[in-house]
Amino acid sequence: MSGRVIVITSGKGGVGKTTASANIGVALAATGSSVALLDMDIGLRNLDILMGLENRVVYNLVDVIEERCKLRQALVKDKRLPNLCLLPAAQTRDKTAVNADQMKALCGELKELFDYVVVDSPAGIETGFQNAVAGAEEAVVITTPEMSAVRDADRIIGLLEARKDEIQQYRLVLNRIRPSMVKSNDMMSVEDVLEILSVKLLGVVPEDEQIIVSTNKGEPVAGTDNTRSGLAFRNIARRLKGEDVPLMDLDALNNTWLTKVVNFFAPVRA
Amino acid sequence: MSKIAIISQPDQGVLIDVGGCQTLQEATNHLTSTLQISSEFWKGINVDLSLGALELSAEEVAEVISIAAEVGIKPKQVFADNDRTRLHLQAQNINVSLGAPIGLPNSLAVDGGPSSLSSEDGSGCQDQNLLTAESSEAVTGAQLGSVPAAVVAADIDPAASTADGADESIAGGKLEPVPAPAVLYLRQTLRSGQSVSHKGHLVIIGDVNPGAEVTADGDITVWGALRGIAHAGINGDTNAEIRALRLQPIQIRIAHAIARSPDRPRKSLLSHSGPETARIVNGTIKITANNPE
Repeated sequence: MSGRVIVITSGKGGVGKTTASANIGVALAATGSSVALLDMDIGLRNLDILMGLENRVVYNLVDVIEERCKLRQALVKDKRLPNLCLLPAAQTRDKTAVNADQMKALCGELKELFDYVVVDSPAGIETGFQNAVAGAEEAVVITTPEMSAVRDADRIIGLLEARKDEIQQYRLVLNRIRPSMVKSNDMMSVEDVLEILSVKLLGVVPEDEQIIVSTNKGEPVAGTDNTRSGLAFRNIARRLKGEDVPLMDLDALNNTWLTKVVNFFAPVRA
Repeated sequence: MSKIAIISQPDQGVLIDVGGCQTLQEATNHLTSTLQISSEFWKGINVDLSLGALELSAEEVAEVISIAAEVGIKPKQVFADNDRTRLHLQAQNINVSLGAPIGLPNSLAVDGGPSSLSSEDGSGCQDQNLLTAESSEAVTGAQLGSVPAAVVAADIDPAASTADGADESIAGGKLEPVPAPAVLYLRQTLRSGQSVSHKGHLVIIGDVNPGAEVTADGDITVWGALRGIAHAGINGDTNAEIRALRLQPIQIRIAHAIARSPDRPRKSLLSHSGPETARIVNGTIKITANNPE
């Protein structure tokens, strides 16, 4: 078996790399594929917390690379999905604990065991980023509709393009979009962002308070029904698998019962 | 690489061990750099010197002694394994003993770099603790920023200590096993990413936050909240205990047993049930409350 290694990256911090990694991993695994989540944010590890697996971590990525344990010993099985595993980062080390060659070897080993290897990259463009993309063949670039995040995404895309031999495909996920603000021209729209970045769009994830709840609970939204962000991540996973899924109708999200009533009486008001 | 150790001994001043060096050249280089950079440190301290198995000629012995003399050290006692070295030392009227002093911790991770020594003063050196001249970034920089000298010595994360050749000094066989484990007393809150490892009992006055790791050969006592990972009895001592005022760890490990926190506690971090002790009962880790009654 030879799986796909997909790196989730953004350049800027706080745009939702780790959240996206966890949810894409869960959504892919929910479709039946076997998935390994690889946390590359050595020294600032979070993915285990989002997955609710923090208390099960015994060995980590650096232990594997320094051969203190076997790869299988370090893989933490998910609580809910039996075909989902996490390889946690080390918390008491830093980004220099591994190098690009070791990462390539590790990703090579993982993709023999799993259909998908989802690599959560750290923020920045230095060693940590270089290591995270080292073993990857595909990239998902996360950004939010803010100038700073878009600027950093542009930088990252440039760096990914420079690795054309290794990174065969990269696509964009626009995270935390607020349809109401886009409507009132207070936020960049999907089209605005694509205009700047001119890159293939993989998905759009609306802003959702449930993300905070799920982070604190350690249960990614993609694993639970009836959250709009969860649905968006499930769609992204389906598109990664090659399905043609139309973009979510973001305007529909604005339809609270009040606007529905208003629209009912004044359908052509807009 | 483990080349030269500086060990503070209870009530006896400091022992300098160059037994890890293979040649005199190496020993003198390390000795010179260590002593000169921190020459102020040595004023008025009782110093012993351990030469390990080094075989030295009369001139070489004189050279070592003169390096020490340059910074004002006159070794009170010199330990040496090699017979010829001992003879030369005796010829120079120096108090010589065989091997290394008894009662030293048996495996001390040591480094030749003088980086941390220079900034330390005598008051920081606690009994039975090792002052390492540790050049590893993990210790001097990122791990624990401003810790007292004695702490720097013990703060060697598991990876660093194996890599740094702590084992090398054990393999040399010059240091006797320690009869009773030493206690490291640490007055600091450990934050995420910091780790403390100690060969002996570990007492922390402060909290151990999630993401921090404490490991010890013996018991671990936290006078505060233990919210990170603690591993007591790391060399297999199943009688080791972990106790804390608030025992809320992500994971605790004693010898080879592991216990993890329940999956859905998510109670307020402020709620707790008072001081508790974790120990191995019938092969698994059990936690019992330390009630005053």
